Amino acid sequence: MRPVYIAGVGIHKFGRFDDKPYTQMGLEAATMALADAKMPWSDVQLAYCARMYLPATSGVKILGQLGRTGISIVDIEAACASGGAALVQACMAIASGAKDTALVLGVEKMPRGFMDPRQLYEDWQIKTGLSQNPIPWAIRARRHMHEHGTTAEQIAKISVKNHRNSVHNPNAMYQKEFSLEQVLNSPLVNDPINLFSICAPNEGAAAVVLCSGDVAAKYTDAPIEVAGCAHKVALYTHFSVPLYTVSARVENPHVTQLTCGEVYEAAGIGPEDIDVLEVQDTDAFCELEAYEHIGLCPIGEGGRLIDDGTVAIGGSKPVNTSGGLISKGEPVGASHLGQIHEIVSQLRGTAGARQVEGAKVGLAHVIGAGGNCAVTVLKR
Amino acid sequence: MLTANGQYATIRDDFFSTREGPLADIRLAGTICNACGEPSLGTVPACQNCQSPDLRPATLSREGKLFSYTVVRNRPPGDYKGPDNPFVPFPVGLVELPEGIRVLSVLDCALDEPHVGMAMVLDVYELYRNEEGAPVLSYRFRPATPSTNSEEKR
Ligand SMILES: [Zn+2]
Repeated sequence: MRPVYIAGVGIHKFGRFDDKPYTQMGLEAATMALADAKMPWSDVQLAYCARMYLPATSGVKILGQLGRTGISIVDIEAACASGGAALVQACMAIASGAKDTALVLGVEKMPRGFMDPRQLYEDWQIKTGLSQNPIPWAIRARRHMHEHGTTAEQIAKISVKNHRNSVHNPNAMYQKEFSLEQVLNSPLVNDPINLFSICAPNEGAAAVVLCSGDVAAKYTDAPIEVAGCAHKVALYTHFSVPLYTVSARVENPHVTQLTCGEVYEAAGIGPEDIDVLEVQDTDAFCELEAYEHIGLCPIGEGGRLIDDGTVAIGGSKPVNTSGGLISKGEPVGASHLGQIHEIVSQLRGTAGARQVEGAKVGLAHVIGAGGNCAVTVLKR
Repeated sequence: MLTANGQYATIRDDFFSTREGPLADIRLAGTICNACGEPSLGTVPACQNCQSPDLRPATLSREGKLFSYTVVRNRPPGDYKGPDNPFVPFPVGLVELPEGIRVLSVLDCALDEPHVGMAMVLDVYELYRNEEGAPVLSYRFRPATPSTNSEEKR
């Protein structure tokens, strides 16, 4: 297998754009990524479009606007990991030698408020009221507090950190600081998770242009290597939507641990080598747990990393310098590729006030419904 | 009133040991894997743990312990059939049964009552009436020992 490089990235701000169709948001992100890569659309040999809540052949509808070149354009859905699943497919095509270039686009335009539960839940779960997405995270958070002494303050501090980082990210939906008191006093959604510690589904797009080493010099003098990229689905029993039972007899490794393990092996690195991370923060506890599963600390010690500043900008393992999904919102199909946009900015040294000095290795992580998880490691 | 065939309607028939007789005698049902012993709630085509199709039917215990919990503070989206207009917030939790399975369930108790390790007992109850006016059964768990000093009894 040969190395795969990122030649360009593009993003359409995450937020609410009522009068703007997804075809326009996706087009802007794709066009920006192609311009960043200095690659004409006619050079792209393969394209994937990650999306969950959009109509059939969204990728063709968006990218076809650039002109019909006859290449394969396929939509991919894997819940919150859709962007990662699409990236894996494109990377395999280039790594295998089948293609030299590919474009991966993620785009979403989601309804306001709670999503239609029928997308994720069976009828009986909706009727009984077990169909709220934060329930599994909230139950895990409560258990984590019980077993490890994690506090509501530690969880809220993660939200405070991410909102603080977002002030410097013009692509975030909310660019506003909140105090610890404001977060802790926001209404409870599913105890102990409250409103200001939770991400909102929204709209947006992001795109990545990939190429092989053979052609990279033609497009960019600062390629970023995709050192590892994997998508996996959780083993039995995963604690996620649409949860209804969990084994008390069998405890398999968490899907984030398994996916990171695969990516670390491919990249020849360990968690100690990572300089900057973007991780799933559907809610603030989800991020705390990811510290442990990514391997930044032992299981049960996630709360310490927010207390001692390890995961803040300026700490040794800055997490969600972009503001995370808590600040950006989560346009499901676009979220992982938005993380890739942030990591590429960090590795290029163009992240401005969010810059992590000297960042050489970055990791992006998403996890969601069905136990879908994707992890990508980038190197400069 | 029962359905035409003399049985109760339920939210999912395979979750219940029987659909006849007193509600207090109805238990949660599932399977146990003959290869690895893993239990399931409801019927499954293969063991979710070891993939074996060699399963036997099982009736699950009525009593368990609360593993963890949360509260649903806002009305769940869609066709929710619990108390509505006005919506009444309710606790949910994972109840660990002796067979080695934790079942996600509505908890019939005050919002401030659940705590990890609390003894719980099954309650099969009428969730709503269907279009024919027949009761539709669901399951929930309630504390095995009724609370005496709860502030937010619902
Ligand atoms: Zn088995």
